[in-house]
Amino acid sequence: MKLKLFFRMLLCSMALLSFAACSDDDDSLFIEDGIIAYVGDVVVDQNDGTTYTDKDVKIELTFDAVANTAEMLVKQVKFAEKMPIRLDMTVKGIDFTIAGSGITIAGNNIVPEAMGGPFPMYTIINLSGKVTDSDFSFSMKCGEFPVTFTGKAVLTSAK
Amino acid sequence: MCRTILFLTITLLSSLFSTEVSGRILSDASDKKLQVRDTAISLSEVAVVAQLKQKNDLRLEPLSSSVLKMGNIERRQISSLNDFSYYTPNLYIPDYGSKITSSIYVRGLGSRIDNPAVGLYVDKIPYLNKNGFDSDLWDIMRMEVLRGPQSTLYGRNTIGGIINIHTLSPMVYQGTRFSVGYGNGNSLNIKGSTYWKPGEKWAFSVGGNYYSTDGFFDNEYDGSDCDWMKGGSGRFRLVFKPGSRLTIDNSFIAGRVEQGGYTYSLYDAESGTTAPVSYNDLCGYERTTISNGLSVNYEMDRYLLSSVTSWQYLDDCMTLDQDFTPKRMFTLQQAQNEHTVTQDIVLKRNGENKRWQWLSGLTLFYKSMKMAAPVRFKQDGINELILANINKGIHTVFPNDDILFQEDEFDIFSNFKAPVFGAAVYHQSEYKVGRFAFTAGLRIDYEHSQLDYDSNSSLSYKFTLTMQQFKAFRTQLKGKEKRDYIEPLPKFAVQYSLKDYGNLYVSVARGFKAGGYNTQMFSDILQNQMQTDMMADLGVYFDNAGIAGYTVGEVITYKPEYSWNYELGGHFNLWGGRLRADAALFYIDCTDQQLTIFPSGKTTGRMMTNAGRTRSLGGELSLNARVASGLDMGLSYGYTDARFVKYNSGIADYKGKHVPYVPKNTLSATANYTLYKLGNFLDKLSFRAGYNGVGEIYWNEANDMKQKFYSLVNGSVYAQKGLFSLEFWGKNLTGTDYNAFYFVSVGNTFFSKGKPAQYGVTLSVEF
Repeated sequence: MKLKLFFRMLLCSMALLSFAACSDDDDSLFIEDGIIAYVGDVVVDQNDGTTYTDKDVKIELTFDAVANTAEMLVKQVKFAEKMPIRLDMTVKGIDFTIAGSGITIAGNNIVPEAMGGPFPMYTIINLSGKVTDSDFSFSMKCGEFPVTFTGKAVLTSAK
Repeated sequence: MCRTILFLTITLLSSLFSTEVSGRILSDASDKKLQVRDTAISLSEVAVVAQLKQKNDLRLEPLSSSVLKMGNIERRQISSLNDFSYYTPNLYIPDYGSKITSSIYVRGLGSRIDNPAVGLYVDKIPYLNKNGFDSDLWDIMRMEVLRGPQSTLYGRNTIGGIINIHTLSPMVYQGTRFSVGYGNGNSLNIKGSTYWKPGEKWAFSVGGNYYSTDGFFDNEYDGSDCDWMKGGSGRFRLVFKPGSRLTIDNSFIAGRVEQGGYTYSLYDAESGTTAPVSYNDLCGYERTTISNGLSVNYEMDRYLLSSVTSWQYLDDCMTLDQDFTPKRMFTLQQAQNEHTVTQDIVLKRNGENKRWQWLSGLTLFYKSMKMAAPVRFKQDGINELILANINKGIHTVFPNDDILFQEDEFDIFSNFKAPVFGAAVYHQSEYKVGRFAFTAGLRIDYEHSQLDYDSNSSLSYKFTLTMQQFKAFRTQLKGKEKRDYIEPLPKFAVQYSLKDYGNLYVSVARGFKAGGYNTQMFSDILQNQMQTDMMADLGVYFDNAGIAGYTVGEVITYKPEYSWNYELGGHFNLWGGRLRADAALFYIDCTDQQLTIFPSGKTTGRMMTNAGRTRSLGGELSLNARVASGLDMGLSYGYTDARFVKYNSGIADYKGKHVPYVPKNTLSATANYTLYKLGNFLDKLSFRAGYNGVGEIYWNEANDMKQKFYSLVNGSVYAQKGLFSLEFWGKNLTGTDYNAFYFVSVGNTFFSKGKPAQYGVTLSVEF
């Protein structure tokens, strides 16, 4: 049932602007404008033998079936304890493939957007991950720092 | 008939030995015309003392009051409430520097902005907005101040007392008056009025005034006059008395004022000196006021039914260089448009000598206010007040990159609607038992206030690290706040008659000052919101943002102020009535006292907040004597010690500190010597010498800045021959240098200097 709903979500995201037409009346994770959200922990290898974990980070995924790319918005994330700010970071142009019970994502040398524009300092290297209707996990290198994420899907309102 | 004779006798006696004794002995007057002129003050008592809620003679009431009559008002060149305050103990109305408002302090209670602590009534019409308080006073028959809360009879915003102004009535005086005065500062003052009584049943008066002055301070930035002013007003009054029972009295008043800016001088804390006034942007104020009041009295055998209906219109606009420096920081424009309707209905027992005297009343009011208050940030302000704050955080992470704005100037627009309405019922009874008179009263006051706000700004910005182009950005705060209050306002008093020697009294009364909204803070609130929104737009969130987590409602709303006033006093007639003494001691316990504070840091606004608890204690003493034929002397002294009992601002604890703006001492001494019939040369020659002392005054809650006690010397020489009179007058003749007011903007401290020596001559004709 969930998988079915999940693919309905994907189909809806293909339609991009199909705002209300695809909504359902059960406990679906389906989000009206094609966004699905996960909350989980971002773990950052500090390259000094320690790791920093930023808990309860929210990540929103948007799938564009026409372009066959996904977009990942990492909301209010910190990559180090001493980092004085949290950032919204958007990773665009992620490849995705429907595989088995979920979707796999991948990308390399993607310059994310943060603070209003391209943010080469955090260029994404070797992004790979798996998305299901209940879980999302990925690993990548963000600039010089290896980053992993493991999260659970949440109901969210679309913005 | 007996009642009328008694009434007139009391009135004439009270006028003969008024708080400020009239400068002319009635029986001296052989010249009929002169008698009319001088007795206009006395005869007017008959009309004036037909008060709506008070007794004819305030000295018979259990309260502390001061009265000035026409002769003394005009001889002392009193043309504003500010002038009036110098002659009344414990009443302090500093020169605010603009007619936009009047800051009135009585016995430690007061208000710099927003709701007044003292009610103002002109010919029984209540003026609800302080912005209309500083109006032109001319042909004023009588001015009264009643100290202590008068909330039982007058309701909200009379926590410190009330000021009653009675204009000259065409029913009691007929004639034409004209005067022209000129003084230093190129000050011109012209007044003209005429009073007619074509028949026994009706009378009318028409009058107007015009004034202009170059002021007394220059703006060093461009050498222009700083405190110039011009304006005028007109008054039309029609009184209709179709029979012995009904009186209809309608007053229409319109006024207009245009003036320059504040005389704020930058204060240097290290040297303790103030620099000359110097700011680059336009400052000024203009106001149009129109009011109409209809008073209807119907006298029955046992009761008197009165109705006072008023409509007031106020349209004003203030323009400010609010940093008051030559820098291009920011300007403010505040334009208000207000309509007010009031209705007071009073039913009272007729005749003041009944054993049981009572009055009951119903009050209704509605006030509609619209205000537009755009703040324009200019290049220096953008850099120092906004970008400096934003980039301070940005630089902690990206030291070489900045947020930039595309605009050299941008506006924060703020529009408000603030309707208020209220209703009250009240009753007060006085019951006499032997020499004792017991008074008890209660008012139930309901008030609903609301603020609709829409504050917004649009600009373009970029972050140099990531953005090549400027990005359009808009931030907005829009919402509504509303409050309802129901307040019981009781009063109790016991009075003991000393018969011809006066009376003693004790009283307890509760005062209430309405809460309100800090519209002045929206510039700062929106700046904070803009920073938050802009960072969110960038996707940046600071862990320790320095941007307070608050709701708009919390910041802009302040609570009502309440007080209990405990008073012991007396009115005494000594030496056969040649010396009149009035004395009072008071203790005020005030909770949630409303204070105007300037938030720390480089903020652009000011706000009203509530101090936890204050107490004020002190007293008043007035002595007025006819020392010898033609020589009258008066002395009044007020002492107030007002301190915080409980007030922690979150930054500091001010317990034990003095409440700001409240003078500890107010002192006035006057001597008036008059000679009559100097041969054929003069009908009257009068010399007046006056002394006023005020202080010390603490300017802030920390009490680290204060104005010491200062003295002002005034005087005049008045000569009259036939229809004409000529007066040479002077104020602050010794040129005392003192600070009249205090202001803080973007972390800078400013003082407004008191006016220097003023002198002039006034020529009057009356026929």
